[in-house]
This record gives sequence, structure tokens and C-alpha cells, in this order.
Amino acid sequence: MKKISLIVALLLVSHIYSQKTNQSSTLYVTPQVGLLNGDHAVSAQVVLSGGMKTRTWSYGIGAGVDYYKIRSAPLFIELKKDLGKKETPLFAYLQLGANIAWPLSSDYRENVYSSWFGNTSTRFQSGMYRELGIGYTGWYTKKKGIWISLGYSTKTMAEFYDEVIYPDFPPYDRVTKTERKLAYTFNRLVLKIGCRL
Amino acid sequence: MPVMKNTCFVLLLLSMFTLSCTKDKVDEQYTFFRPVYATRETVKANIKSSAPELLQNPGKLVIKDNILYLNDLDKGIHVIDISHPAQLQQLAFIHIPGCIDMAINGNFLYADCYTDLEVLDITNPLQITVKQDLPGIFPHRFYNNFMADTTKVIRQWVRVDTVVSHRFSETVNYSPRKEWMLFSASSAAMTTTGAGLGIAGSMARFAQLNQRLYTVSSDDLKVFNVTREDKPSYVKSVDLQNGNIETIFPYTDKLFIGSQTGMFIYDAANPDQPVKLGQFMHNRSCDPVIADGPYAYVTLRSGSFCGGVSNQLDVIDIKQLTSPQLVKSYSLSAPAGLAKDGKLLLICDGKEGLKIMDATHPAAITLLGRIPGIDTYDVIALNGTALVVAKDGVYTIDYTNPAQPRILDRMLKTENK
Repeated sequence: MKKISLIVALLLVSHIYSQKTNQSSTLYVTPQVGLLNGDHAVSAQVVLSGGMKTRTWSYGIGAGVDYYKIRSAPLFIELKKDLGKKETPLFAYLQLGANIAWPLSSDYRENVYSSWFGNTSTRFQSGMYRELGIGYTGWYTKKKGIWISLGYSTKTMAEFYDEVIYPDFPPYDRVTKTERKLAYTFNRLVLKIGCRL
Repeated sequence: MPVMKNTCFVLLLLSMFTLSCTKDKVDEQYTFFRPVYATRETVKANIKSSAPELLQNPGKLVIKDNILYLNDLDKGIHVIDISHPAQLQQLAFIHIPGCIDMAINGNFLYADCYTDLEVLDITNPLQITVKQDLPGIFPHRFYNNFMADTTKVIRQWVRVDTVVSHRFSETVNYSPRKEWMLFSASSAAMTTTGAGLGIAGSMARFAQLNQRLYTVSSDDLKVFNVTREDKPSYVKSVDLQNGNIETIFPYTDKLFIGSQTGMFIYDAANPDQPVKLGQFMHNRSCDPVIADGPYAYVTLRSGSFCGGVSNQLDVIDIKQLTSPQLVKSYSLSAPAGLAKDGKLLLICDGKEGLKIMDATHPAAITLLGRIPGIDTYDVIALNGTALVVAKDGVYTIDYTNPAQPRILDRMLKTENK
């Protein structure tokens, strides 16, 4: 799924790029700070993206740090479209890419599972990142501007445990080893503020 | 105007979509074991000699008259001819669901079937039949909060891989899985204290002494009068006052009981009323025990449900039964079952294999030889031939030359064939 999404995004970018190459374009860099509101949790992310802007389309790449529930580093391709035929304050955007797991020590569920006889190790696997939203640009000139946006973001990742099942009766030490996978999908609303440099 | 209309529409759609979908989701993929039940009648009717079957989970073993009775954990008993140690021959298989422990008295084999004690007539190993059934003798087994349907018998456990979904904020349901288990067993040292009795191992939970059958569960010792071999009668249960009991080993008129926290010595001079004499406490770990002369030998093994960090052999002076004293500890890898044959001490040291040690001087035990490459669990030593239960099957090992022991034959479990 992750690979398919990336391929689709790349095709889309190349398609748009091929259509717009004859138009004048400018480079942009946009630092962004986001407030993430999800399932009984509020957190934040910091993202930097940059790329090329044509008349109504922007396309680029970005990366950041996302602290929602389990820390990760999204790495994505970005598409932005000004709504309307000419440049307008309103825009829609899409970010699509990989969500690199970068857990804090407190993010591991190891502490939940470990017991006095200690029996587990845990590891994370990266997943997918996607965000879709709309925004409004105020105070903008042709090249610069400050904007706010509201989006819907999803990041996925997985955590694995080596699990050992012990018998409750003697002999106790014949065990069954299995693996437990926790596949996380975090859906959040993202309120962002950013500036186009 | 059309732009504004479209924008409003998109905004409305987006807000509706996003506001309703901010729940987290955790797809939890794990494995558990589900019991497959059978009626008691079906199970009991099937306890008899049937065609040999492949080993699955080799467990405890008992030997009588060149016949090895090898438990297949929770499944039954393999009947194996060991007249020729270099050529093991399977004779039959007895289906006994829930069987972990065994003992032999004369021509009768006592085996557990979950909560029941079965008495089998083994006069002819090819025509073994149930002689008596003592229901409800042993406590129900608990599987980490899963309580089995006690009106039926668990015939087997089926491995199930599953996925359940829940929210991130909901605690992962680790140990109290509703249907899970389990398991496994293994066994044997050198437990024989009378004519006609089978030889069992150090991991055994059944022991015989003075025409009594003693069985230990987690916290009690049950006494059966087996004066009539074919009709054991329940006498009483003795509260051991310590939980996590693992093994029992009879020696002279004493019972050596191994627990996760220590070794307990009971005096069985009055066979119906064992009385605690002394104890030797140690770090928490799994610990089978055997005794020979004035010394007891205890192996401590960590890294399992028993916990602890010790992997060693403790030699204990039991001249004063009321106050056993540690003679010396020897560092080992992951010791489990052990057996004594004269001056030789045979120890199953986990993945380091079977170790044959010179125990002439208990304070200076030395390694003589080793069979590496097998994950050993328990051993019976029979005048130069060791019957060893390992993770992958059962082995016969010649140790007449202790410095160079050699494998005579092996019977491997299904997946290792």
C-alpha cells in the first residue's frame, strides 16, 4: 500500500511537472508548525517543505518531526493547488510519503508487557504518512506569504514483540515463542501555520 | 461565484470527513492456543494401546523391564522397547489427554489425565487397558486466567493466529488472554525405591515409597495407598505451605521436594503422614533435586517462568536433615534434570547437552565428558546407558567410557525427522 501510494504520488508529480514546464516557476521553502488533535490527545509537529511553484500548482518534498503518540519523522512528497484559475488565498494540499518510526524511550510498550521474569524485546517498523487539507494564505506577495491550514493526517507504524508463553503448571520452562505485532494507525486533525519563503 | 461554491463544498465535505475519523486504530496480531474438547466417555474409551505415533512434545519418562514409557505432553504415552539401546523400537501409543506425569508399580502404570488419575494395566505393553479411574484427584489447571470447561476433557490445543482491533488508548491485553495456554513437559532422573517400581526422573511429580504413591501439585502433596497395585486409594493431602512446587524425589524414607524457592525434606517414616524435616532455600529458579548418600544435588535454572538468574548445581550436605548445608555451587549453562550412577553425576545442561561429571568428591566435582549439540532436559542413568529426553526427541547414550560418551540411538519428534 505504501509503495503504491508513493508510485501514484510520483506519477502525479511528474504528470503535473510535465504539464507546467512551459510555465514560469519559482522555488519555495515553507517551514510549518502544526497542532495535532486526535483520539484523546493533542500534540505537535514541525515540518519543512520546499519545491517548485508554478502559477497555481506547487510541488515539492518535505520532512519533519511528529510527536503524536509515538514520535516519528514523516518524509513526503507535497502537492499544493491554489483553488481557482488564478492565484487565490485558498489552496488545497496533499502530502504523501513514509512515516519513519523514531520512538522515544517512553513510546515503547515494553514497560507494559515486561514482568518480573522479563521476557520481551520490542522493535518498531516504519509506515506511511498522508495528509490532505485546505488552507488560507494571508499577507502574501507573489513569492512570500503566511498561511494557515486545516488538514486530516494519518500516520502508520508497527511495533513488534517477541512473546513467550509460559505454562502455569510444572514443568514451567517449556515455552512457546511467538511474535506479537501492533499495527498503529493514527488519524488526526492538523491545524498548521506556515510561511512561504 | 462557482469557485466560492466549490470551495464551500470542499470545506464542508472535508470537515465532515475528518471530524468523524480521528479515532486511532491498533491491529493487534498475536498467537494463542485454543482447546479442542472431547467428552469424558470418548477420552476414557480411547485410553489403550494403539498404533505407535510420532513424537511431538517429549516429556517425562519411566522405565520398567526394558520398556520405556515416554510422555508426550498432554497427549499420551509412547511405549518404546529399549532392550537394544542402539535400536529403539516403538511398540504402541496410549492416548491420554492432559497426561504429564507417570509412575509404575508392578504391572500398573499411574498417569494423570488432567484432574483424574488413571490406573493402567501394562502387563502386556501391546494390550494396555484402563484398570481404574480416579476422577477429580488433581486440581484443575489454570491457563493464565483461562478456565477450561471441566465437564469435558481437553483433547488437544490448536494454535490460532489472529488479529484484533482496538484503540491505542486501550491497554494491550497481554497475559489474561481468554483462550490460551500452555505447556510442555519433560522429565526423568533415577527414582526407584522398591522392587517392581519403575525408574523415573528428577523432573517427576509422582514418586513411590513404602507402598505409597506421592504426587505433588503446586502447593500440596497427595498420598495414595498403593498396597494393592491395581487399586490405589486416596489417603490424604498435605499442605506444603509453599507454592510453586515442581518435583519430588524419594530417597530412603525421605521425600525431597523441589520448588522454585528451595528444597524441602519430608520424613515419610509414617507413610501416610509425611512431616517436614528441613529446607534449603535458594534464589528463585526452576530446580529439580535428587539425593544420594549424605548429599542432595539441586540444579537451578533461570530464564523461564520460574524467574531468577542462577544457572548452577548446588551440592547440599543433608547429614543433618533438619539443617541442610550448602557444600558448593558449580556454575552451569541452563541445567535441568540430573541423575546419579555411582560416582557419576549426569546433568542435562540445556543447549550444552548432556554432561557427565565425576562426583567422587562432592566438593570437587569435575567434568569428564559431554554430548554436545542436543538441548537436553532430563535423564535416567541405567548402568552405562543414559536415556535422555531432549527438546527434539529421546536419545540413548552410552557412557561406559564417561570421557567419551556416544549416542547409540535417537527417536526424534515430528518436525526433526
